[in-house]
Amino acid sequence: MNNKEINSIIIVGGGITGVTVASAIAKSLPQIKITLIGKDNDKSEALSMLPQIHEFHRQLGIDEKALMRATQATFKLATIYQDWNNLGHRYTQPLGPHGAATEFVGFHHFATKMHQLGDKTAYGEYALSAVAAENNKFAHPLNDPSSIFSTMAYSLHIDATLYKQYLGNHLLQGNINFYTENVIDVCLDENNGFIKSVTLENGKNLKADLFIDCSGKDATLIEKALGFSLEDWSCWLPANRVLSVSIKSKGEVMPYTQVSGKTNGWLRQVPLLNTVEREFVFNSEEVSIPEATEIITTGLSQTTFTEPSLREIYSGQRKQHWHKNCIAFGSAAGEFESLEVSNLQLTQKAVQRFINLFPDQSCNQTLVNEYNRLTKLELDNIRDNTILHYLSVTKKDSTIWNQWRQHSLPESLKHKVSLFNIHGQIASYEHETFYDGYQASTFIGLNMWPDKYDPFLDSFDIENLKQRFNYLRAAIRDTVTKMPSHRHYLENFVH
Amino acid sequence: MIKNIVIVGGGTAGWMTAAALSRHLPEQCNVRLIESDQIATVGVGEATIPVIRTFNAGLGIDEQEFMRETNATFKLGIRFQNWGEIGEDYYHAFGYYGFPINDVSFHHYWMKMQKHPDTAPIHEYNMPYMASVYDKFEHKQFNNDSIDSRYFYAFQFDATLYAQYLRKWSEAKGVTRIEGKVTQVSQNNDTGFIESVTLESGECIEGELFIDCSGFRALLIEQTLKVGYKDWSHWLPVNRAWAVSTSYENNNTPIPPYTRARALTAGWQWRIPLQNRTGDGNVFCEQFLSEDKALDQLLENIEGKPINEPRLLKFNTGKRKKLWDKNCVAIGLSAGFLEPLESTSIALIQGAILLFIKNFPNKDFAPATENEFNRRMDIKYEESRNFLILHYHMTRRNDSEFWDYCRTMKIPEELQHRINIFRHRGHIAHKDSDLFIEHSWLEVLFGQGEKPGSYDPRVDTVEPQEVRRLLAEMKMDVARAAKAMPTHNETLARYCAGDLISNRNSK
Repeated sequence: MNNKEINSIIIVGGGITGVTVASAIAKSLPQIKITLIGKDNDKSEALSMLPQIHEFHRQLGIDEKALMRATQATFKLATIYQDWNNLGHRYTQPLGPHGAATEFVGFHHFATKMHQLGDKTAYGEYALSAVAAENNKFAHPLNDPSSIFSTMAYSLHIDATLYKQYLGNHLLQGNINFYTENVIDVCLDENNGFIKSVTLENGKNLKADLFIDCSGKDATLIEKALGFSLEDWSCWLPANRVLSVSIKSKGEVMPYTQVSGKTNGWLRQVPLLNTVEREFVFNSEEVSIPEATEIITTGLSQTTFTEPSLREIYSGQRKQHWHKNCIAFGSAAGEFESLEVSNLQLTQKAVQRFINLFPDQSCNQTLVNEYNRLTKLELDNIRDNTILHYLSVTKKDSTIWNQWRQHSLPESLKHKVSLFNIHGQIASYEHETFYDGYQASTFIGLNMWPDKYDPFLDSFDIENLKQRFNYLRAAIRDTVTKMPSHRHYLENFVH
Repeated sequence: MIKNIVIVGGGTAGWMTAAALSRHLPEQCNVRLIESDQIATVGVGEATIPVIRTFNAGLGIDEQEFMRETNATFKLGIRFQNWGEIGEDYYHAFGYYGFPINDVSFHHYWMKMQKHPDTAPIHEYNMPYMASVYDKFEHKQFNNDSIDSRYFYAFQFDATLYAQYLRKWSEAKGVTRIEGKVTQVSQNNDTGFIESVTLESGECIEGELFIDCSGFRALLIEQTLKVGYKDWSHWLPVNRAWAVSTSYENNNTPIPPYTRARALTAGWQWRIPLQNRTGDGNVFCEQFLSEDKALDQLLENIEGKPINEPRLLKFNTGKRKKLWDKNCVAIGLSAGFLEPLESTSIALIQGAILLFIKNFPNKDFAPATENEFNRRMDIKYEESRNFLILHYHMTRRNDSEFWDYCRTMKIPEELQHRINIFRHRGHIAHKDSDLFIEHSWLEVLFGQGEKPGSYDPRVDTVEPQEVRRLLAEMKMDVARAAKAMPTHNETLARYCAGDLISNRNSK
């Protein structure tokens, strides 16, 4: 035990990324003195999360009910894609699995066979989470594997600003020093290249053992002070602007995120308790702000929505996320359009990974390498998943969609696509975010059915298979009929 | 779809493949297996790891019947003697050290408390480890929440009998066995695909897909397709093994629920207990110890009496550059050989079979299918290889040239990375694709005498008094559960006795 443990941390960036990182560290390592520097420059945003959020909340001791009450949150069972491949195309991507447990052959092979036999049923009808979502129903999943409710999976839609406040109020009270000034200078140790201190606008100089960069695109520490640039992904994912409005809403609450393909980008709607947050994601060379505003406000009456707010995004990741005693999270580390995975989701996962490899003052290079290796794998896989969504888009009237389709793919994704295309197998890489069945459901939703299914099914009796499929569909429908509406369930749950 | 499949070679690999294919493929597929009674199978891999149960369960095999037919015993792990240093002894048991506390793995708390007088050696917190020490075994379903059933088990069986058992099973499912020796292989002139094999009798057997289970000969994948071999002997230098079967000393000799691996001067000796006998062998490196001396060493160290002539096996550790090439897939020893130290051979066969079935080719043999199989198998072989190298490299032994070589050799970067991570503060860099669970790495690293410089700092957030209390409680629970278990001999007699063992116990 030669090295000293870390006693103090400075986090640069006062937005939700900084607060999330601070909360997780404060919970796991309460002996460490944390200083959070910077204003909150976050624009309002609605977060559409994945089920991995539950593990994050469990580790932080966050009670779901209390959190939802405080953050206008709603439940999320799926993402529904509308007009995606082309006008009129629609599919539901549920968070929970399709079908029932079957041999060791994935359910999507059975569905492929049925599809080839002429079954026109949407794949989502074989997933409880999808059907419940489409019918605006919700109930919590059950753990009992014999119950159909064990095939439900859900996550949350949350207002980022309220989420940040909640974390701050519950996990950072009294534990932490706040400064709202900006960092104007960073001082490095000449001998070892570690960050020694940061200087604030008011001249104050602050030292710490470890520095965390949550400064967003500014990348005050990791790029400006340490010089790590970005690996650029804009050739695959060219969106660079997000325009958003908040719309008042009453009545039904969607238990899903809705994504609609538009000529020059995509429109997303995230339901919160009393509003729907609408975002348009596009490239600024293709679409002007007035055009984007037009798209985002179509069909709304003037009084029901807020002033549109514009946010810049980029596509890429930092060549090193962690270097010596500095580590970057959030947009300072990497960012791309959040079609299925929000940036905050990545931060939650990254900070858990970081805590599991928490260094001492020497910031051992082996830990740094392991963290960077895992983080890069995770982001590469999610990037591939995002690009995948554009492969079967058939609109011809937009240069941006064409770019999305025509750029040569990363090798990893190319292999994944051809393997699935042959016979529905998933090339699963190290550190995937999405399980095999989820990936299969994306392919199928995008109408990229495989040519062949697992040969095991060749010996299956077709009538028997049809019966099983009918039974499954009926069981799911019956279950959903008896489920309470999402709004009703929510109101009971949070009161 | 492909309907004509030819497996060249019986043995464990051949019959496991035949059984799985006949279970999985539709009836219209014709699976034929060519083997010759004149060619002896190697059948060294008599010890397995817990994944074998998934394979058997997938076939729908009755465990009791299977154990009776193959003289199988239960296996809770492997006992390593003299590995870190002469006189040291540890088990790689299929279970866990204690329970995590506040999401932090148990061993970090233990590392902090190890100097405290109330803290026991770490293995006393490991249930299957303690059961092994006392030769106990109870047949239970795994339950992660309860210390007395928080372990996995595998089997030690007679691989030749296992192959026979699966042969019966496969033939009943429609697999055709063809007796004969392959003397010629014909390839398509343009594509190089294998079209047929010709037997000594002159019979020509055509197929669309060929599976090479011909053992070290690698008749198709190497002799015909010449894919090349990745030699790993600089990392795993053992290249010979003497194998012999021995009898138990008497009817009351306890049958250990584990395989024993005792390090010797230029390799190590195995002892695999079956119901009716043990399998023994000396795995060594011929450059450091002559074959004659190795045989002497083996016979000196066995406990019972030899009941057959010792056999010598020669091998080169490594794997084929491609396990799947054109319309040929190599499974088993034809694909590569690591060495038997962690009983990975059968697990690798099983892994290859399941992956192959998942990626069963279409008639056009699309490259992506082959690439995926080869990609995943490379990972499996490399990870198993690294785990094996760990045992040789992490030693303090300096009593022979062999150990000096192993201790000082340069190891694969990825393994060095994992070791460095552990050394720093006891973390295990685990992967989903690993054949062994995180705790297996932990047990071997601790067992070989590795001591991390520090522990997870979250440990300091729990009151030391509370940690002491929890440690004491876990130690007591493990001791109580191990004590309450029946002996392995008793469990065997009750659960799965073949004739031999019931006779032994009734006398």
